[in-house]
This record gives sequence, C-alpha cells and structure tokens, in this order.
Amino acid sequence: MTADVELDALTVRFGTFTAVDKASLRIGEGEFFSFLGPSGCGKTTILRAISGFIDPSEGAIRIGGQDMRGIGANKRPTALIFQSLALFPMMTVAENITYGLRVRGVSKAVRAKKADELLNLVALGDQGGKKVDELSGGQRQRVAIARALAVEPQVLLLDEPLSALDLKLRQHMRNELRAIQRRVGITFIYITHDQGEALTMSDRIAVMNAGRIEQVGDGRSVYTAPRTAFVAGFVGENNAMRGKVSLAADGFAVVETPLGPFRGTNPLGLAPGAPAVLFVRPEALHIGGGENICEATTTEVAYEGNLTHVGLRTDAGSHLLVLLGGGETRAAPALGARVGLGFAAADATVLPPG
Amino acid sequence: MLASVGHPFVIALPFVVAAMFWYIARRERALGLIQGPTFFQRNGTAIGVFLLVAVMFWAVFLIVLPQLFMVELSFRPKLPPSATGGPRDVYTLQNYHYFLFGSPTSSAEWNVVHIKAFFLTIFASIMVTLGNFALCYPIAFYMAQVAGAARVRFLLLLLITPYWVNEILRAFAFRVIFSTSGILNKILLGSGVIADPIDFLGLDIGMYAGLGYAYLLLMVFPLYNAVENLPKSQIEAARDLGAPWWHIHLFVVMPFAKPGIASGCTLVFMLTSGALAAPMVLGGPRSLWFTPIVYDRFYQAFHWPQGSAYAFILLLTCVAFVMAVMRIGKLSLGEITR
Repeated sequence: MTADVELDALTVRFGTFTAVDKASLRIGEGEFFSFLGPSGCGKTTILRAISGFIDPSEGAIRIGGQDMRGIGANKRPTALIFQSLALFPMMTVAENITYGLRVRGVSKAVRAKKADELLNLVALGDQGGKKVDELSGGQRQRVAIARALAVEPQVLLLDEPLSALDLKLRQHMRNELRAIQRRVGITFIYITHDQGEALTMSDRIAVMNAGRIEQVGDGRSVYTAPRTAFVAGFVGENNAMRGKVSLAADGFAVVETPLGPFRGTNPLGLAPGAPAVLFVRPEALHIGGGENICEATTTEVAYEGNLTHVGLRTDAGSHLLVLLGGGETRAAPALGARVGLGFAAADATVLPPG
Repeated sequence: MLASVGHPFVIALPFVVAAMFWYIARRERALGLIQGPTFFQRNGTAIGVFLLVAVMFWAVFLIVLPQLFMVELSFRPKLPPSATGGPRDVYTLQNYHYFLFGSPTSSAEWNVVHIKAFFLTIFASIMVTLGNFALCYPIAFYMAQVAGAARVRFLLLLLITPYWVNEILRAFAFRVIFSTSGILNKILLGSGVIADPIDFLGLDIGMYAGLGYAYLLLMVFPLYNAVENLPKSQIEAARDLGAPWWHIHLFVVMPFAKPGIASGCTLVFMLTSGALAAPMVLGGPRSLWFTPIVYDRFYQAFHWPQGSAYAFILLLTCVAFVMAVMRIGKLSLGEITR
C-alpha cells in the first residue's frame, strides 16, 4: 500500500532559527520525490518532521489524508533510511531486517520467510546469517533498504543514503533504488545535495534553499526552466550575467550587462528597469555564431574525452564556462586564444537576482 | 606433607611463570612468529629496565605473592610460633573442613551459621547488584544519550562529590538517616505516614542501601561509557521501525551496552560480596554478612589460616559465579575490559 504526503505550510523553528519556512507541497502516491539543496537548507528537517522525530512549529503534515500531529515516529506509516544507515551491530543481517516485525510480534517462522523474501529483493540472497560488520558498504545499504521495507511502510524516507559510497557504487545504487521503487510501488521521499542523484532518480524534485522550497518540478523543468536565481545556479553549472532589463516584450527581455545587451526568455515577466541576472548553460554557449555575441579569452581547457570544459575570461573580468560536446570537442580553442561566443535567446533565462 | 616446603615454592612460583613466558617469547621470536624490534629496542634500555622492574614489583610483590601466601596459609594448621616448621606443621584441609562442619575434624554437623551467612551474602550481593543496575541504568542512559554536555558535567560532579567522604563516614551517615530515631523516621513520623518508627537497620534496609550506594559509581561509569558509544540514530531507527521505548532499551540499547553492563555488574558484585564497612556499621543485630565473619576469624579467633581459607572460599565462589554468568551471556573477559 502506498500513500500521498502533503505538507501544509510546514514551519520548523529551532529557537530563533527557522529551519523550514512555510513549506507546502503534495507528493503523490507511488512517486519518487526528491528534496535537493545545499547542506543546512532544511531538507533533512523536513524528512525528520515527516518521520515524526521533529514536531512542526506550525503547519501540518498529512499522510494518506491523515494529520500526523500527535502521532509518534513509531506509529507512522513511514520508514526512514538513515544517512549513517543505523544498522544494529549486535544483530545478524536477517535479525536487522526483521527487527520491525519482531516489534510487531510477528512469529519467528513468518519472520524468517519475510527475511528471505527481502534478501532476495535486495540481491543479498544467502547473507542473512552474517553480522552487519562483515558486509561491504553497498551490501549494508541494501540491508538498510530491506529493513525499512520489511515493515511495509506506505512512504519510504531516504536521508542521503548513498553519500558514504564510492562513485561507481553510488551510480549503481541509483539504478537499483529506482528499480526497487518501481517494484514495491510505494512513495519514496529522497533527500540529497547531489543534483545528479536527484535528476536521475526522481519523478519530481523540490529545490530548497535556506528553509524555503524554491521550485518544484520534474528534473527537466528544474534544469531547463529554473524560476529563481538560486535554482539556476545550484542545479547544474550556469553562467550568470548581471545587469538591468532594458526591454521586455513577447516573453523575452533584453538585459544590459557589462558585456553588452543580451536577449533571453523572461518567464517571470520582469519589467524594464528591474535588476536581473541572465543565465546561460555552458552547453548552450557556442564558440562562433549565435544571436548574442561577445568575446572572451581562453584561460583553461580541460579535455574529458566525450566533453571538453573551456574556461574563459571576458574583458569585463567575469568568468564564463563553455561545455563542448560531440564534434565541437575538435574545435576547442587553444589556451590564451580570443574567441567569439554566442547563444540563442531561447537558451537563456532572465531572472531576478537571488 | 610438611609445610616447610611451602614458602620457597610460593616465592618461586611467580618467577618460574615469568621465566616460562620469557622462554615462550624467545621461542616465538626464534621461530619468526614475532617480528620487529624487541621490547628493549622499542623502549630503550633504561626505560625498558625501569618498566620491567616496576611492573614486576607491582605485580609480584603487591598482588601475586600476598595472595599466594594467603592461599598457602589457608592449608596450614593454627600453631604457636614455636611449633611453626615443626613436625605438626603439615598441610591440611581442616580450615575448609571447619567452614563446612564447624569443627576441624568432626563431620557430624553442618556449620549452619557460616554456610547460611555465606549463601546469604552471595544472594544479597546479587540483589544489590541488580538493584544497583536498575538504579544506574536510567542515570547512565540519561547522561549518555539525553543530557547536554553541561548537564552531564554537573551530574558527574553530583555523583562524584559524595565519594570524597570516606567509606566509614558514609556508612555512619547512613546510620544517622536510617536509625530508629534517625532523619528518615523523623520525617515519616512527622508527616504522619507511620505511627511507630520503623527499625530500618534491624530489617537490614540500611545495610542494603549502604551497600548499594557504596559502589554506585562503579556501576554508573561502565554503563555510561557503553551507552555513550551507541549512535543516537540506532535508537531512532528502532523507534522508526515501530519499537516502543521498553523494546528499544531491552533489544537495542542493552545488547549494545552488554560489555559495560557486565563490567559494572562484575565490579559491584565482587566488591559488595567482599564489603566490610557497610555490613559492620549498618548491619542489624540479626544480619550475618560473611565478610565480618572472615574478619572475626583473623582478629577475634586469631586464626589466620582459617580466615585465609574463608576469604579464599568467598573469592573462588565469586569468580566462579561471575565466569558462569559471563558464559551464559556469551561474553569474554576481553569484551568487558574494552
């Protein structure tokens, strides 16, 4: 069984510090939903509030339509996977997995059967009798997932569970997590500061900053259509050019920057005279042609095989990053070369400064 | 067997054992089982010699030899100094026999008074240990997992300060509290809870309270250490999986703290069963703790061999009991001392 989760103006204060500020959103049944943000943005606080370890100062949390106020962490239909995993070192793998069932008074025979089932689900087959500290990092990860799934939660909460793994394993576990979520079909709420994790796994992402939810949307819309300067800067690399709107028409705006006037989309409808930042993705900047053209000096060329990162310094002293992919890689400029850069107005976004 | 062979044997024993260890170490090095610098190469000759002499003196002269002499003494008869080393000075089991039958030779009757006191002491020590654990576990858990750093320091101070007062004085202070005209009775009488004073000391309540209090810290600290190492997330994880608080304590915190629990319980049990001050000062007229009986063997009966035998019986029984409990709890000595 699965359930939706609704945050209704959720506010959490620690003393005078507001960790979460009026967060409102609805996470659908069976959705893989991520909270993405830098450390200290309040995403873990939201997760702990949903799981019941923190009481909201204001607002409400509803799971499956039921208000969770006054319901303890041990009575909620959620299961949390801790960043540290928090496996019980004095128990075997199977005992860890079935701890929640033991609490519920499930008989030994049923527990053993359930343990086998879950061990197979997370591909740990015959490891049930081992002690937790005999397992590798990735295996422990799977035990933590199995232990949380054993209590058949309606919502699974994951607090950066992959952060302790090495890169290769992390990428592998992303796919694994996504596959497990599809198989069990329950709501996953995932906390991460790694945009790659959020983008690859999630149905939808909430980008958070300083206790506020800045933008909610699927990975593509958060990446290609940021609605705040923070989202534009935090999700993926971006080139930012500050200036003032000089002209606004037909959903586009012209921003007067130190490098000259540039045109970009104007999703928030900024009026002429408003301070603004124009964002262009490194892969949208092209050497040579384009609608908006400026010149810069190459200061860094990093060849990565399929991609080449090119760092440039403009005459105004600002830095630009260009990402060359595919055939463009061959056209990478030499160090110190002066090149013309251009980008299409449709690829640039004009947003108010954060 | 004449007892005159005893002393040279006892004195030689620790040195023979030390020599054996030295020989084993030599062999292992020769066989390549141990590698790297030797003890003297690691520490330098001067410090190495100092360590060796200091540790040897401490271990052999202050711990091993006195104990061995007591054991040896317990197998000898009580003789006037003039007869020591004479033909009557032979090894005998009569001191142990006396403990069981109340006579050096006859086996007609059991020595009910001493045997009863002995088992009562063991049983009461177990109860005091359990009571101490029940009292200290919440304190240790609160300090290790709940309280902030400043609160912990304050609590530690509160726990430690009373122990600056010496043991005898503390025992007498408990007398002041628990005697029939004592503070506790005055409060209870004054508030009308009871009509007649309760004889706390006669009922041994004072003694058990004093014994429990005497070794409180030795329970708190190992527990505190063990529980402090438990990550908070484990408690939260158990709670998140639906566990009520008692289940978390019983199946997550206590198994994790098992070495600390064993260490604290062992210390308290051993020291309680061998305690002297609290039973002497606080024991009621009818209570018969075993240690005062041992004390009396030495200083009332002036029968040192018998006193040694009694002390040795108590020690062996306690060690055996602790070992048995540890075996049941699947704990090794190494874990306890961690």
